Amino acid sequence: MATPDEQGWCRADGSGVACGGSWRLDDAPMLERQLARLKPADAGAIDATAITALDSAGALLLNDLVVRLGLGVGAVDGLRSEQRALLDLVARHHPSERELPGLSREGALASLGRNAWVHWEQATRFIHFVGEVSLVLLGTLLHPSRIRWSAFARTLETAGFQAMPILALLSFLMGVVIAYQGGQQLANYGANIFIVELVSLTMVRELAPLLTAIIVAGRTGSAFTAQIGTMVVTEEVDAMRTIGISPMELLVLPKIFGLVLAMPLLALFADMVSVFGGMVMARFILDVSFSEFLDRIPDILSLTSFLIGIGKVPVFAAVVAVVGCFQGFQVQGDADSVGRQTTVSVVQAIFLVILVDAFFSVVLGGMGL
Amino acid sequence: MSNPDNPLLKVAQLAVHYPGKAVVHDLNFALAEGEIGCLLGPSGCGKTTALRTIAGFERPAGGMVQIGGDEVAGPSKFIQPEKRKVGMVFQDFALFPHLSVAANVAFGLRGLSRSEQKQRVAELLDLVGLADRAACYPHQLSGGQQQRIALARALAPRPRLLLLDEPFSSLDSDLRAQLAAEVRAILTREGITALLVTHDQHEAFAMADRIGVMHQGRLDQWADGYTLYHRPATRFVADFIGEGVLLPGEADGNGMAATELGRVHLAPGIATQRGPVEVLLRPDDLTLHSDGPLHAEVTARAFRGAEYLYTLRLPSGARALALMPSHHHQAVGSRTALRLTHEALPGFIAHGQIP
Repeated sequence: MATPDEQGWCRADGSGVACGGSWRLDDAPMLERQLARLKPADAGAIDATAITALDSAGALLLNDLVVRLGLGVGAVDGLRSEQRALLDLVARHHPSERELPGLSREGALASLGRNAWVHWEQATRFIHFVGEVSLVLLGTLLHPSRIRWSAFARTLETAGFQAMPILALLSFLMGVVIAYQGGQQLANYGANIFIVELVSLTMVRELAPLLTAIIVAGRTGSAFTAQIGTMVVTEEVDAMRTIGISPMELLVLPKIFGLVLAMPLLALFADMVSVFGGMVMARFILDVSFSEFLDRIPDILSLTSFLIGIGKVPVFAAVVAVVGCFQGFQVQGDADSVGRQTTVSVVQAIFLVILVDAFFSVVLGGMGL
Repeated sequence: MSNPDNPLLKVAQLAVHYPGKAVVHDLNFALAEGEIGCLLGPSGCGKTTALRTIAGFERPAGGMVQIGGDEVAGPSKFIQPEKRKVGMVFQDFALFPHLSVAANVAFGLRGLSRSEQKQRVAELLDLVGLADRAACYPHQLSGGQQQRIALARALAPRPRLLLLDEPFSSLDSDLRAQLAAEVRAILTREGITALLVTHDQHEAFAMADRIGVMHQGRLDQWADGYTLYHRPATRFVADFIGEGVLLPGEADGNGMAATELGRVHLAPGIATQRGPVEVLLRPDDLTLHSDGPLHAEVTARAFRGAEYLYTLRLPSGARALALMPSHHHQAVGSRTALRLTHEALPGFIAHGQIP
């Protein structure tokens, strides 16, 4: 009988591997060297009858040996029952190291494919959602009694009226910046009066609508996502559906209607404030007085340019509202997901708004407007 | 009223898949009008998915769901949850936080006139015993009160079927049992057909007439509480419901089995099997009795209030449990005599296979 303090050992014995002695933390370095000498060709039964002591470090080594030889823990014979229990425990919680790298590393091609697939699926769901919204929209227009007026009014207030201060400040500054940058160049040629063209055309036709859309996407689109997303997480959306109320009618349509009405008004407001900003700047650095400035506007700003600027805005509004609502319904599970989808919502809304704007520019340019 | 040939809820061969895995397989059960059913099982067994499929939030991959004789989900048909006329109560209440209690309950009553709405809301708040809280907001109420409001809201549009998804899990354990009894009383009084999902067997026994035990997406057994406890159809049901031990025995093929505790009648099911079996012994199948024919050693006992649960070691070393009134006293370590109180016991074929 071996003494309990006998040093741990293991060796190939023709039919397999024999192990014995103390398999404890102190013996581990020794044992590791001996284990390294064993080859897969030595695989067979592992006879552990002679093991006198086994702790978790020893059990880990034994498990590594089993895995390295391509065996299961069942191949170890002769352990006492408590030692067997320890080995089983270790084997269960310590998957062999060689399994791990394969799991965690995915080829670049595979992850490219996976990402493409995820985006493709999301695009499909978005198109599906747009279709669903269009159907409900049509149904509601045929039965106007189904319109949720109070939710509509709330959207007008929060997305429209309450956005005015921030929009006023930013449009004013935008007008100031354009007038300042352009004004310096114009002053070089003594063409100071052309500041009116520069500011009013740029702002009214292009920048004020875009600025409005971007501010609303950041302010209201994200709020739509967060509101609907939170209601998804707390199962309020499900609760609503089971009592027979369509979230499309109650949550989505009033937001779309509200934004499509509020955003052109906001854009009109932004037009005025930004031109005013340009006017103030023109007065101070280019000596163009307010009355000169205002006199010139009707001559150079055609109705077409104004309508093109304002006309794009309902489309931007629909994009921001639909993306915001869609991302709200994409929330899954926890509050974490609400934050993630909110970010995605803002990024996608701004991206799509600029894309749509570019599309308008190309088409309108083609039509010679 | 309750006609077994024409159940209010019928689920047949229902299968639900999530991307890459099947969550529910071949689910079959029916509920008669006015009956309260329950799907019971450990987390991840597919019970909530089954409930959400009946509500209409998931599309089945196969099979069908009928409510009140109308197919609501099937091979060629899918009705949206809004149109199914089912009420649902959720684990975290899902009340609308910015609406008052009365407005929450009235939420689903859009078709009615203002005075009818008012009357129906009063009626329901009365039913759940919260008539004086109509003007409060959900956050001003306790968890139990919020769940009763959620129940009133779900019942307001007079659904054909009420679904309850772990309705008491976010409440304290005291409140849970009390509310379960109250809700059962309300549902039976109003004759409402309901299906409950829970992982808590006591809740299931307290609420339901019929209980289905689910395991890995399948329904192992659909029966009342007594049958599940004393006549489990599978080892999983035997293990999941209540306590007990499996005692080895030898079946003779004529409905009897020889065990360490003597010959016992096997409950129908494997009565004609021969060979090694395991017999399910519940704590109330054994009683400590001074002139009992059997002997064992007490290895542990646990106080349960009205009872002590004794853990015994039989002469062969096998473990057994016995439930005794708390006035009965038997010290740990002592030897005791015992007898079987019940001789028809469910048996399972030894080593694994489910009969």
